Amino acid sequence: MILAFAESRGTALRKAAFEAVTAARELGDDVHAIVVGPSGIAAQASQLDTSRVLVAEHAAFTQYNPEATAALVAERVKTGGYRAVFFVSTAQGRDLAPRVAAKLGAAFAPDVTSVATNGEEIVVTHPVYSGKAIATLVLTGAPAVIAARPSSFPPARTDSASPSVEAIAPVGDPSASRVVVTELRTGGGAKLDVSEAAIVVSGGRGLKGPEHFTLVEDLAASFGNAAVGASRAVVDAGWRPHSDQVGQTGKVVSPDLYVAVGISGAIQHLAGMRTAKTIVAINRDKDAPIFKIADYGIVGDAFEIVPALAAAVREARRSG
Amino acid sequence: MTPAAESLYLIILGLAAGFFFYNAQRLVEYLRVGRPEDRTDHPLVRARNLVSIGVLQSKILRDPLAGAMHATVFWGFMVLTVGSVEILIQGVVPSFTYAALVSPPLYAGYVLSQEAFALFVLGAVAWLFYRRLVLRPKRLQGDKLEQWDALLILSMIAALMITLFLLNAFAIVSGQQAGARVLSTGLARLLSSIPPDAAASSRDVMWWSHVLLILAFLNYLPYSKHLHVLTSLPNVYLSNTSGPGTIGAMRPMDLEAEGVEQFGAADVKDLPWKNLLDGYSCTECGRCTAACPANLTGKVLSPRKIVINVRERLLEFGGMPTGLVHGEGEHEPDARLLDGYISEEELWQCTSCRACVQECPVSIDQLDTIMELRRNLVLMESRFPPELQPAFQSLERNGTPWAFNAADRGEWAEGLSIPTMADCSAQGREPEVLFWVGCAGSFDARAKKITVAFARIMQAAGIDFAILGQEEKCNGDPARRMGNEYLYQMLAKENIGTLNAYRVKTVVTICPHCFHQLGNEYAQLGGHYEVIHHSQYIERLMAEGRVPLSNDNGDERTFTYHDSCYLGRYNNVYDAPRRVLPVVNLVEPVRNKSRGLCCGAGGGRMWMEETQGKRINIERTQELLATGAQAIATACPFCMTMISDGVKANESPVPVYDIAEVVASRLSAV
Repeated sequence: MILAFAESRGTALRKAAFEAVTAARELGDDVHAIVVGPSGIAAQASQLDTSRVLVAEHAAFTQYNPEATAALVAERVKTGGYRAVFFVSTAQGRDLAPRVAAKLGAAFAPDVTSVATNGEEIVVTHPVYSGKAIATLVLTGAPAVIAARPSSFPPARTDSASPSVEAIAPVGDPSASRVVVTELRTGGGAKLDVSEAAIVVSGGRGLKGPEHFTLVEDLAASFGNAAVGASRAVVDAGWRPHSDQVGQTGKVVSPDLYVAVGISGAIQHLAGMRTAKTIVAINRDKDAPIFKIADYGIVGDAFEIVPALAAAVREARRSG
Repeated sequence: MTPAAESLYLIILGLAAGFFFYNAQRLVEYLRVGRPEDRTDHPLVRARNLVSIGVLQSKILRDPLAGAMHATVFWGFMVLTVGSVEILIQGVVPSFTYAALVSPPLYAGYVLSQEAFALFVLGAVAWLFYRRLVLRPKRLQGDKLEQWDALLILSMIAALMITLFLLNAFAIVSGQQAGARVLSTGLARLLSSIPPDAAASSRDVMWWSHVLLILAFLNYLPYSKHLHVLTSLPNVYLSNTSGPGTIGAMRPMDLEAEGVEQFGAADVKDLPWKNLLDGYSCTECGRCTAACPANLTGKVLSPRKIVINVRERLLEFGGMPTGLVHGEGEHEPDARLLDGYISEEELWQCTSCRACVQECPVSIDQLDTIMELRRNLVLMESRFPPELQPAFQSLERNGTPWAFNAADRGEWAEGLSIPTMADCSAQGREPEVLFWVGCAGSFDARAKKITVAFARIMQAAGIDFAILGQEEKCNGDPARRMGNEYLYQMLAKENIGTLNAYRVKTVVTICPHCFHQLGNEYAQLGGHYEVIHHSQYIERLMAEGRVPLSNDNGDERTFTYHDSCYLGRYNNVYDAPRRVLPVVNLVEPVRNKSRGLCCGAGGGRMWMEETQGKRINIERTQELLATGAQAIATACPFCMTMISDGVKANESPVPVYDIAEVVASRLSAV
């Protein structure tokens, strides 16, 4: 049996919960999920496509509670005889998974991009050296603690699962934790952060003025969930806030898709986005360094290309 | 003098001397708080500095007018002190005169010198008053106490000169021989109506005034910024900023030393004693701060404040009554130097351009203190701007401050038939020179063009050269200047291992930071090579007639050249990059050569955000554009990045080239 930790915030499950389930299934074994949250979270269990969901509800789980959650998960893994427990390397997963591994004295693999079995052994891969090499790790002994790299496994979300739901009690008193998260404050209001978005559309000096960032914002909006980034030059010029800056001294991003509009590709910018899975560059100068690392390059006027591209994306999403 | 007066004089003289030596001993004792460091090596180099910088005032004369005024007062004091000794002795032996010791012409010359220099000093002091009270230059704006201190000292000097003239004039009126005292004689004529008796007692009053002023002046110095009168010459002798030793090299650090628990400096006790003496020697002229690129562009860093803070903290630490010590900026009572007096923010704004050190007339090393404080921040407290984390991490993992793959380092050379050292070694041969490319030249698309241009020049000149390719790593300069000595030594030792394994003797490089590190600082870790910057190398090849240039006048456009700090102030290379430029017309920006303004990228600033004040690269680019030049030349890939960005931000069409690119564009077709 495999356990998948279903990450939640408040009474809602997060995307990482479903990715953990998908990753856990790769071992070809029966998968259970564990959900830890405030009262009311049990209603979400039907979204988890597993045979069984363990739910721990407690007021002290309203905010992420590192100690009590780790203690509970470790306890369940031990008593349930699970062969492995899966997390996702989100901000919460990065904190939680090592704690659980330490409590269990178990092998731990972070940022995992593939999972397989070889007899009794679990074989995983994870990228090293800024994604330039892939390390293959063999986890011996049970249980194993594995954290999947975010967005590496498709989320197995469903509306019609009917797992057997079992309410479980916390270990000890979760209110007595030595670490208490009192508040969760998200930077930049409701705006999607460039370092978290799967799609980033960035603008540079080629846009000629801060008012033309509406083009970039519109292209980002056409994708539905893209964040808007900026080059250092335009942040220095005061067109965009520093929180939008992508590059060596700003945010280092690694999205599925990165669209660079009017950005020549100075070394300081490339250092912050070159590990993106797919890079699209739009620039008037065909010799711009950004084209050297772009998967798709469009040489031309951003003022013509970007609106056309936004329209095409909208059309594709409507028909797809 | 009556016997009573004579006894009184002796008592005053004794008390004054006693109080002075008490204070002097106390100030010397405070210096012992600092770390020991030998500064007695190379006495000849030190003596030369003492003569040129100290006695001949070469650095203070960099500001011609204020410098000339200061030099007048300084030389005046040297000359007049001889006379003061004579006057002080006369208090005990009234008949004493140098005339009894030397030949009459020599004595006449001595007397004339006293007369002349007293007048020169008086004139200079008048101008200095005028400057302080009317001109009020920005660099002299200290706090209230500093203002009073300065005016008090100027008044004392003026009073010393006036009492000297009156003393001599009254003596002549009372019937003494005038001799060569031409000015005093003139003054005596104006006073000739005074009866001889009255003149004699007036002479005594002036003598007492003059003597008491001398003793008061001497005893005031330890409580004033004018302590520099006493400490400047020793400071110049003991300083390393103009040699001996390698100019601009950071202090070696033994990270494995037994029992060492403090790396870098957090307080005065962690600084070498010489840095504390720097504090005594600062007279707050502000030349360092006036030349500081960070301060010039509206940032809080002020090298003068750093030095004043060191003195302030040291006197507090030593137990000097602090009410008498003025300072700069706010500080917490009894707080350590770092944070208490000097903020982290100030320290990270430094570009390590060395302009402050270059300007200081008494060879204070502001930069050394800044770097020791940075070392403590990083090595002891792990405090640094968050944006440095990726740079440190990448240096550690990829051997380059930018997150690029070490395997791609030699990519630029593909198809150019440039062998690697490994290739050469496999063939059992040792190339004439190693071309050390550097990280910018290897990974930055713009800088790669410089690399290729220089490689083409060497190929055209038929040079047998090779590169390290994947085996090259960052030289470590960014890490070292960012205070991360541990990371620096890791990188430097690896590079030295590689270079020594290939038995490299001569290295050429396009990067002044690599040039300075490999040539000047690697010796600390056992790496000894002849390292040549490409500007010097091209100059050498041209002189040997090995660069086949096209046969025309050169580029017709008007060029201006931007000096790199690590090439210029660190290594005194000013002429080579100018000479190799095959251009018809070269114009200089207002700040050039040793006064050149930094591009803003040194000292690790390349990897930091610049959020306060104007951006340094914008300021510098505007100075370069103000020359009206049609193209800008640089000789450093960091300068290239900063000035190119500056040109773009100014929406100017002026292109920026490296000197190698300008030369390569004139290569005749082979």
